[in-house]
Amino acid sequence: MSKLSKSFYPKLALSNIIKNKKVYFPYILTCIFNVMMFYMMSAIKNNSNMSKINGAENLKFLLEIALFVAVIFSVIFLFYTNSFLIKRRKKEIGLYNILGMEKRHIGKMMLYETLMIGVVSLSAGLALGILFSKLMFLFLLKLIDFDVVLGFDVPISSVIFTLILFGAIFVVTLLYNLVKIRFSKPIELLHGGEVGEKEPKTKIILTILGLGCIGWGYWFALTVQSPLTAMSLFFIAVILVVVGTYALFTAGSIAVLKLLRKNKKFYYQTKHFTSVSGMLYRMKQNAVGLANICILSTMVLIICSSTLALYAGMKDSIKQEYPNDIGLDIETGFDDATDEINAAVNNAIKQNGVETKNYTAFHYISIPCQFENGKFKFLDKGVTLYNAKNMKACTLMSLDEFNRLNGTDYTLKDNEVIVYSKKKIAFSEFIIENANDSKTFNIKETINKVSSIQSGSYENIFDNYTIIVNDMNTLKSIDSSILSDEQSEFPIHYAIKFDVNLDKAKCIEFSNHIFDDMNIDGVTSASADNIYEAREVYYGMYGGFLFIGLFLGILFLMATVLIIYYKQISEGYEDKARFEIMQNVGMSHSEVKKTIRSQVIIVFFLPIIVTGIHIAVSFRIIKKMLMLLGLTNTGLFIACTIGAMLAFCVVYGVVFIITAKSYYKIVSASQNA
Amino acid sequence: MECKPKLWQPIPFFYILSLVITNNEKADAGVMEENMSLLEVKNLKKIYTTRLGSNQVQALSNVNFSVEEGEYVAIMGESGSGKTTLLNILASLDKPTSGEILLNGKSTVTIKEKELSAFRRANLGFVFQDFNLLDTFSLKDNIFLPLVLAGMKYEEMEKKLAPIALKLGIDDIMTKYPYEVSGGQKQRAAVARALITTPKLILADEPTGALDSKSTEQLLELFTKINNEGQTILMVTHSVKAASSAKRVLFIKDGEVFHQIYRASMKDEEMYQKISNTLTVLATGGEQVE
Repeated sequence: MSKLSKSFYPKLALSNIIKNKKVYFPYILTCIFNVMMFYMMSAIKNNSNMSKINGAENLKFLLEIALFVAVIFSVIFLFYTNSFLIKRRKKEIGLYNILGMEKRHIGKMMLYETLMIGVVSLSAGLALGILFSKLMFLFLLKLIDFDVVLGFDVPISSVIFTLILFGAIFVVTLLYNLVKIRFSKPIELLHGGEVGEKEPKTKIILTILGLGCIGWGYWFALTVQSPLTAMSLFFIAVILVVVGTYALFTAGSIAVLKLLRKNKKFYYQTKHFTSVSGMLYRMKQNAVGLANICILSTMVLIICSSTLALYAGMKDSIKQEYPNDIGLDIETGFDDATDEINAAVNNAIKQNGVETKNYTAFHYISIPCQFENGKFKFLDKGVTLYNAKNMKACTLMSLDEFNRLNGTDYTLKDNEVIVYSKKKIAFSEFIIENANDSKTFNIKETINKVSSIQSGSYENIFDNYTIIVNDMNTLKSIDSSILSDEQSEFPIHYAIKFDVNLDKAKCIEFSNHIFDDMNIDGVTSASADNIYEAREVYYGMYGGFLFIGLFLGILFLMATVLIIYYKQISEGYEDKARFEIMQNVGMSHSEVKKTIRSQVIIVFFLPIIVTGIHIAVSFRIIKKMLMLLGLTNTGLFIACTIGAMLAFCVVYGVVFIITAKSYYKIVSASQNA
Repeated sequence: MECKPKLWQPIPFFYILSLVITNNEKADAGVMEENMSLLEVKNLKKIYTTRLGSNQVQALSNVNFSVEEGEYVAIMGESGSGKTTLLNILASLDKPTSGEILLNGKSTVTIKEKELSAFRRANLGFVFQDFNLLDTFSLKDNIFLPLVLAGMKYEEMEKKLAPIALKLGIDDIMTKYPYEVSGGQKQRAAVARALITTPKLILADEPTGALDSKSTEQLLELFTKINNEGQTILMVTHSVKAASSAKRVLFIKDGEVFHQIYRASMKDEEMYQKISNTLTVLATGGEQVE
């Protein structure tokens, strides 16, 4: 006996897997793919060459988040598919049990099955992962514009981590299956797949809750004003919409179908009779699956479209924030040190033999103002942009510098100002107020166009207004009047921007050392930026975003595909019996086909339509959030969203056609006899 | 039985039959041509070919019989005798290899695929062993299914249902679902579904097969009742009890109608006895080898 049993169980396990290939092969493929993706991500994170990349810390952090998401996702998803598999096989296992296999024998058989699947998935997944990780790494380097060819690297820690993680997942699923079998009677197993399920109840409260959640989430998404609130509200809105989607798919769908059934004229029509009752019956089991598809599709689309838009819009963002090669920002201090600064900067330029172009310089102050009824009011009460209502960011400049920058020739009186704003609102006064004084300026005119030098990304985040006063003295007097204690909370800044005739390395070198020999009294802070380092940071970040977006997008897409496939298969088996009965009762072959088609189409379109609505509604809030990350090009984001949507629809459609075919095959298996 | 086969010699099967069966009509249905029958089956033959074409199994070799309007006919035979094949062909779920079936003078073999379902809906009612009720429908909707498929208006359907449900004693469980009622109730609902289209012929396939004895009795009484009201019934069954409620019993063996018994004025018990005897002969006759 012992000699026989040694090869008996592995053989039985193998034949079981092959016999159930319709459900097992996709499962194994998913496992392999999951292992591969996970390993590649981990291997890139642990790659010894990572540290050579500028901004590697940022990228590593992003990869870590992606890995974390992938771990959670793998656990949930593999567990979910496993529970589907075991449900499908209940009958077969019950039969083994009745034919005399004890439960421990079945356990042994399942152990071998899991072992085989585990070994195949892990070895194939790791092999493919190691093979493609270099490719993936090169792709990432390309995205972040880092063109150094790095060696082949197989981080052992990643291999071990992957083995442990997925080994643990397999062990847990096996334990779950064993427990499930242990506590069920053979007769239950035998009838496992075909228990006459009760008709789902109408859950009014859950339906209303679902509507409420979605409505609330949508309301957030549609009414949000500032990008900062968008950021904080986004996750609440996401949770609300996810909860609402699940509630509506599970309870709302049933409520709607029951309502349809109550309408006797509608219900008792050949077209509707079988589909409404069929949908009603299957919604109970499949609503969650449909909601999963919907949520996953939405996530795939949002992640891919926004990271793609960020990446594509990156060059614009850089140009907007860094109009020149080098930008200096210096606080001129209490006693205006502008002349000394100019001298020192010119000195540094000359000493390094640098030629400059497009040299511009101007002073400004940034203050928060309360804006009401067209009046800007500076209140010296420690309010900031974040803690008070109707606060706007205002940048104060002097007229002569403004005219020079923009090539204009506006004139102003002492008590007049010009306001630059993209918004077309009526402005009347600008008031500076402190403990013992108050000064009012009349707003002479409003303009809505300025040179690119002034329009920083700052104005994307807040409603930013530039207020132009008549001269430097007024600017200084305003600064001293809003001064608190010795130091100004809102010091005068002096910005110098210019292009240089240096290559990348020298430019970085120059900008990083420009202040080295400067020591000017009163200057409290000085910073220098250069476009090259900024570009590296941008590429590292947005390239990393896109990479991770695509990674998660592919992972979620795979899950969507598998869920659709399994749904079709399990529904096929259930519907087969139903359609046979209907044919026996007098439904023609073509009528059966028509009914099948209409059901398939509903199941196909329902999640994707809801996904479309979610995407459309989320557009505004995501656009605001992308502003925070420097993307202001709405057209680009629209293009990316539509592009991602189309690509997704094509993949979804292809998958659906393929899986629908296997569904038809199952349903019509014996009907052509 | 009085028939005692001599051990040294296989006794010809027909000889035994002639000893047992007093009525002594051989399977000669299909000869009455002067009066058109409701259902006529002529020279029906069905050969199954296995998928690779290597094996041929003859399920029906040459079946001939007819059913008159208002008759209640049972078809008996062992497993593998071709009963189910015959029923499937009669139900036009399957096509014969050769031969003809006339329902009301119209051939069901040559009917077009497109018209087939409508034809079946209009002319045939089905009762199955495992009820074939859909769990997705309440009993009422299950019964309505053929009418809905035929495109009838809801008000008319309701009008048709009321008397039938009352007659079958299921009017109080109409809103229940199949998994909520007993086997007997399910089968009565299935009968209601068969009756609601007022078919010319009801085909019943082992209708008592999944029922307990009490439900069986109720169902057979019901069959007799609706037959007395003029409904033609053709039932395929294993059960002697079920067959003994019929007015005529056909026996099938090896793909042919082998024999038949008319009830005439016999009581159920006599009928039962006679069917038993015939079956015994059929069974022993087939194994007559020593």
